[in-house]
Amino acid sequence: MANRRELPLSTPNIILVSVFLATAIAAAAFQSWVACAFTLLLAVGIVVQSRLARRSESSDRARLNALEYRDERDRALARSGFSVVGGLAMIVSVAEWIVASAVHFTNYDLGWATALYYVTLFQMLLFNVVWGRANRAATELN
Amino acid sequence: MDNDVRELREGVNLSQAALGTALGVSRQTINAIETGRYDPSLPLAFAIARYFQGTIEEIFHG
Repeated sequence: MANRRELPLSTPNIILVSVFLATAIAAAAFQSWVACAFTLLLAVGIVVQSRLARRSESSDRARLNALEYRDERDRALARSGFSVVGGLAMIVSVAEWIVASAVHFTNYDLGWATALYYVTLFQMLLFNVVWGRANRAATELN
Repeated sequence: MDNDVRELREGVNLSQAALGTALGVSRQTINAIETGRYDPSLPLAFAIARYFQGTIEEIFHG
């Protein structure tokens, strides 16, 4: 029902901010200051967006876009949104694989075409495996 | 699903936001339940019933 809100940000946002901060540190270590500033800006942006979404008067869309779900309805709405993204990703992955296959089978000598073929094949298979596992988990839970 | 949440809430002079805070949900969720756009889960329906000292059957009707 209600979301436990002891943490200042939701778990996905904590992970995202941590990844961006680690990337910023790595970029600074390589003296890539533009990349460092950009990733720091992204981290700050996520924190600001999350804090705004946690205000009591925030809209549904603000909470969904910020990955800051307040209750069961927010999580149900988020599932609908992500299912659309997942469905589209599967369709796009098949389209990518068809294009990559056409390039690969007409240009056997191109190394990047072979790599692209296997990457898109792996991506398409991965999505199908995840879909199957998700369906299994859903039917076992409900 | 029809329900009496709005009548019960207004009966105790509570705003949607205040009821949402009391139940740990958003103001928009209370609004969606009241207007029939969202059917709450069983735990939330129980929490609503408990809050208004009634039963689920008294508050929610098909």
